[in-house]
Order: sequence, then C-alpha cells, then structure tokens
Amino acid sequence: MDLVQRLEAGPVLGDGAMGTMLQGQGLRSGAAPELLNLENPGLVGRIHAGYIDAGSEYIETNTFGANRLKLSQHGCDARLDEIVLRGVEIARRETGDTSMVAGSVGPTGRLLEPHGDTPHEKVHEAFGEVARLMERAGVDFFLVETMTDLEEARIAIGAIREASRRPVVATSVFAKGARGYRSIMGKSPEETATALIDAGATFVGTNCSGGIEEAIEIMKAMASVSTAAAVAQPNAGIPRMEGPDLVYPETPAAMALGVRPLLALGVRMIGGCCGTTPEHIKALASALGRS
Amino acid sequence: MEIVTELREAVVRGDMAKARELAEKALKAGHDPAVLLNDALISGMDHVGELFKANEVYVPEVLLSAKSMQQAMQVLKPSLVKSGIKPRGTVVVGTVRGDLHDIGKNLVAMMLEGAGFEVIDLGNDVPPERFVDAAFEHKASLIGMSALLTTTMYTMKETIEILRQRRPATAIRTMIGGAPVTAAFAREIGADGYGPDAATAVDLAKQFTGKA
Repeated sequence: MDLVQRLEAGPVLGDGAMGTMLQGQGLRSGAAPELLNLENPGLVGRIHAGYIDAGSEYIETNTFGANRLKLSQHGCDARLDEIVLRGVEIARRETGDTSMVAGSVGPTGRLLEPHGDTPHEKVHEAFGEVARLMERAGVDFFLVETMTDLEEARIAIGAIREASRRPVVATSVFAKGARGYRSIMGKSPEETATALIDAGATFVGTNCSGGIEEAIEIMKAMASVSTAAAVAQPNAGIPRMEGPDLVYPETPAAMALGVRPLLALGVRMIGGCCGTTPEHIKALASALGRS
Repeated sequence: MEIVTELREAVVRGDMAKARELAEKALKAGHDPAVLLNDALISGMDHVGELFKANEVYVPEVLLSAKSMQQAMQVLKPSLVKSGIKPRGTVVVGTVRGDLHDIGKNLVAMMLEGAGFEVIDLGNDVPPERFVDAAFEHKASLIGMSALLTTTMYTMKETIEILRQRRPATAIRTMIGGAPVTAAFAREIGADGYGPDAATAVDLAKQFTGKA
C-alpha cells in the first residue's frame, strides 16, 4: 500500500510499543529484542496481531536495533540479514494487504565524530545495509525513529534514499529545558523538521519524548515550519515505580484526548511508543472515529 | 593573556589541539601542574557545566570540552602523579544491566574527571552486583548508574538493595540518571541522588564527597 496515497484519504493509526510488550512477556533483560524474530517469531507475531485487532493501520517491524553497529554489541551481528528479513516477514504475515508494514530503523547507539569516535561512513554503511534488506523484504515505508542526533538521522535517511524509493518517515526525541524543547544535541523541533525534510524525509515528527502533552507541544513547533510534520508516537507518559513494577501512568483515555489537538496541527500518523498497549491503540482508534 | 587563562579558555571552547599544546607549554614554563589542573581544567569544565545546565550549550559542546580537558590531562598526569596530587574522590559509573547505551554515562564520566574525580567506568550492561563489588574494591564513595531504556531502569533498585544488604551502614552513596529517570523514581527506589543532566551529576558527586 502507498503511504502517501493512503494519507490523502485521512489520518492513519499506527501501533503501540514492541519493546515494553516483549518485556512484559518474558524478554530477558539485556537480550537483543530483535533476536526474537528468529527465536520466538510467534510471540512477535502475536504482538503485531494484537495491534491490528486494536485498529492499527500500520505496524512496525521488530527491527529497531537491527543494524550491524548495535547488534555487534550483542554479539549477533552475523545474523543481521535473517533478523531483518524475518522481521518484515512476521509483520507482513499479520498485515496481509490491509495494513502497512513500517520498517523500524533505530539509532546505532554510537556517537559520530568529532564528538564521538564513529566515522560517518560507518554509520551510513550500517543504515544502507538495513535499508537494502528491508527494500528486498518489501516494507511499505521506512520509519527512522527515536533519533537524538540529527546528524545520525540525516545519514539514515540518506542511506535509505539510496536503497529505496519508498517513503521515509523520521521521528526524533526532544526534552524540555530552559530554552524549550531541544534534542540532547541541542536541536530544536523546528530546525530538526527542516533538516530532516531537507535530507529526504517524506514526513517528520516525534516519538518517545514523553506523553501526549509533550507530543502536542513538539508537533506544534514542527508544524510551524512544515506541512510534512505529520507524525506523533508518544509514550504512555513518564514511567514510575509502583512496588516492584515499572508503570506507565498515561491511560488510554488520557492519551486519546490528544488526538483532536494533534489532528488540528496537521498530524496524520498517530501511534504509541514505550508503555503503550493495544488498549491505547483502541482508544486512539475511537478518538479517530473508527468503530 | 596569561597561559592558565588561555588553557582554561581552550577547554571551554573545546579546542583539543590548543588545549594539549598549551598544557605542554605551561609545564615547560614551570607552572605548577596542580594550579593548571584546578584553575584551568577543572575551572573550565565547571564553567562548561554551568553553561550546560542553563541550556546555553548542549551535549556536542560539552563533549568537545571534555575531550580537550582529557588532552591536557594526559600531558599533566605524569607531573601530577609525581607531585602526589590526590583525586577528589572515587566514583564508580556504568550503564545498567541490559542497557547498551553509554553516551550519557560517558558524558558523566568525562565531566566527573573534569571535576577532579577518579572515575571507575564499568562500561555498559553492568549487573547490579558488579557496581557494588567495584565500589568496595576501589573504595569508592559513590556509585553512579545510568539507563536509557525504560525496560532496564528498574535494575537500579537491585543495586541499591544489594549495597544495603551487604553493608547496612555503608557511607557509599548512589546517584542515578538517564532519559527515562526522574527525581520521583530516584526517591521510590531509595537512590541518594538524581542527576537530570551530567553537570548536576557532578554537583551531586561534590556534595556527597563533602567537597562542594
């Protein structure tokens, strides 16, 4: 399915968290969640299916950390190809032709030169490799997400553009400080949106930066510079400990209250990040007027 | 300009080559390495920390300053060791078990070094017991834990529990930080301090070691 055409017909609903869902179902802390594409594809498929049942019109592949630089820290970079290919396959099995598959591309976890020790070419190569695999496996679009370094996001978009003609959606993380929302590298939502579009992103937005309120404020800033500011995937609030459990406090109902203001800003791809569940997606679906 | 001031400014500006060159020049000219350490490197990094807390600069500028400080520090170290200058205190830092993100932790480690602390960096994916073992082994006064993932931050609680079990009356303090961590979370798990950013982590370390 073509994302751009689909969006002309109205907003689309994404899925919720994968990582925190896997955690809730016994993912060993410290293990690469992407390895489950090979070791427990049934579990990954069931999480996708839960979101599709809740109303998700696109779901994200379980490939967030599936790049050579990050997998090598887990000692499983040799399995990169099968992790990515199977990841797309598992998602496609659940979507069929009725929902879209978004190829999830997360950060490498390395700092680029000159601030860190990783050369740009190395990061470009790592993203290019993932992009070619996803193109081959047939994702509907790419979702570059949870980016904190604008430069790394730009490299990812560029590498994907070289490997595929499918749309590239890019979302970044911001936190509020004395000078308003900034990435840890000091970039504002406005300059981030402009630079990501400039690098070739089809749509831009934010994910993970806090709950629904934070997402609205960040999207307001991005919307002020571009009509391509279209994506919000917030967390279910900021987590806290309750007894032995880590709890995400934002309820599905609270999250759904943000749909109207987001739509008013021109946001038309809405989903959830850490702590969100099929219940959150159901609430978003009903706020979008889906039955 | 006086060379100590010049060196301090090279650190603040994040000019690595200049910081190294000036440190060499200053030593050759007979400047006291302890003065260079305190009045140029530590003072410069203090200033960068203030700018960072005020959102005047962000992570890239701090990293470049910290690298410049390290460049100068490499030059000064042999002389400092010779003249018996002791670090301000020892801090054990690491990213918690299951978490491979070390950008924030590295920043904290560099800024602690910049403030004159001895830093034992355990890297990432550090199990709770290792934090405690390392703190005992290196006679550290403080354990600093970092987490980027909401799925790993709860292991901070285990470290604190193990520490208190093994030494109920310990003077070793704990501080935590990382994107999903909040002051409320720190209170809930019984951490002694919460650093919303690397500069505040340094302030906490100074407080906890009684040398603010």
